[in-house]
Amino acid sequence: MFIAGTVPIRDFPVTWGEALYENGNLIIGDKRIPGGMGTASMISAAAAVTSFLGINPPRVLIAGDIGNASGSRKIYQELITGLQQISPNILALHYLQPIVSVMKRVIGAAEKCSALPAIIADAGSMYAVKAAGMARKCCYLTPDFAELKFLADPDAMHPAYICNYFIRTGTSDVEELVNSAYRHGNSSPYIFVKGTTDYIVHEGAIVARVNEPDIPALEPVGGTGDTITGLISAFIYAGNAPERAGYIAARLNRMAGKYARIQPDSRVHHLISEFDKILPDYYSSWATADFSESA
Amino acid sequence: MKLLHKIIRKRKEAFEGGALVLFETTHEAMKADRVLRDAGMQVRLVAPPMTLRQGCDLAVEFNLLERLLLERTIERSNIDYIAIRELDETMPKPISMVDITEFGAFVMVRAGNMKITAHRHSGTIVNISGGGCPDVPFLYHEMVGKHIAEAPLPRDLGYTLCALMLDRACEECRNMIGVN
Repeated sequence: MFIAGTVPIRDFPVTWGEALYENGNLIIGDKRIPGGMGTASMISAAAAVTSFLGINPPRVLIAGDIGNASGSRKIYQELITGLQQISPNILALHYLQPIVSVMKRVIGAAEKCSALPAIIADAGSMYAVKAAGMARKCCYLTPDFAELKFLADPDAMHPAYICNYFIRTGTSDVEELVNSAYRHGNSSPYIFVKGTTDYIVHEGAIVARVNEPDIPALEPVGGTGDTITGLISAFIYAGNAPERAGYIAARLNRMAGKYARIQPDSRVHHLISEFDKILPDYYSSWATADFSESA
Repeated sequence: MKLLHKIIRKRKEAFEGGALVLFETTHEAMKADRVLRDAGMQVRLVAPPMTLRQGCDLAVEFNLLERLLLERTIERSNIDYIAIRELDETMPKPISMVDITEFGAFVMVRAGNMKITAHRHSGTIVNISGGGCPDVPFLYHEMVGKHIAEAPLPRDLGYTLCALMLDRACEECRNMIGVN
């Protein structure tokens, strides 16, 4: 499993390595950064799972970027030149400035790997693959409801620019939005729609809905969507089918919100620190549960 | 020669336009081109389509995602411009609607894909969520924990459309808290 994205630390150098999550921090080689910063949230969630399951920790590529795209461009370039050599089975892409032309080259580099990695794209990377018309090259996209509208709008190049028809679409119209995204080729085979109800979708069909426990305060807490993408990546890496990985991720993220008593002023590390307490009791049952009726 | 072509092709591939900034004079356009390049932006001088010609025959094409950075850089350099226009006029405008969710003592304001949450009585920004551009986590760390009247504005620190959306949410949140 290979995860790439930026962290909001000015001039933080391009850093490769295995990532470990420890006491709220992410440790990569000799570097230690807070586990809730940008892509670090996603990596921390994935690392918590690999640690519990006793499998290899995520390998990561991060760089500092405060929004001027400097770190994003470095990461894109490293991926373009180095991805074929790494040939990961899972490639999770996160906070990157959406630059269509270079994202196309990253996808091109992924296609030259020994086998096409399962590409999981969230945040700016998801914006870029959609705007580049390359969503079908990915395995999983993980939009929230506003971002699902962006995927559904065939002409939108960023979630800030979507047409009025989709702006007016309500949360009860998830299926319509999903259908539009698939119809226009702007969705990966699997998507996970984060929201009051989480939807796991395969090729346009909702295969699972998860809405328990209901923790509304997860929505305002920054990074609680990033953790879902990290969890999905790790559960696929552990051998679960993509829809199963989405289901376990949804259950775990919500349960962690309950355990942590998440409030609107909580921090994402409160959530992440609950994962290893919950997994021993619930992982086996979630990994075998029949969720087909929820669809 | 092959290497030169390769370099030129590479640069062309990297450039993403999408919007024009229009100027009264060619001098202003050229000056802006220089300032923006010095600021690290990828821009190019182009002749605007006839329908968009409002002044001189030169415009600066830039990546629409970098609109905030462009506006700030030009304004700080005291360069006058007429307007910014998207190349495709039929393209939807940035989302202007905001919606509000109450969480007890907290209020969450959403604009497009961005959400800001503040404590209604203390005025402290307690969280920022949503979005996907790299300035979002940066803005989180610059703004969260500060009073909404004292926190920096996304339009001053941000670079991207996510920052623009957050700025709209922040503006509405300031109204609700009674700052504006």
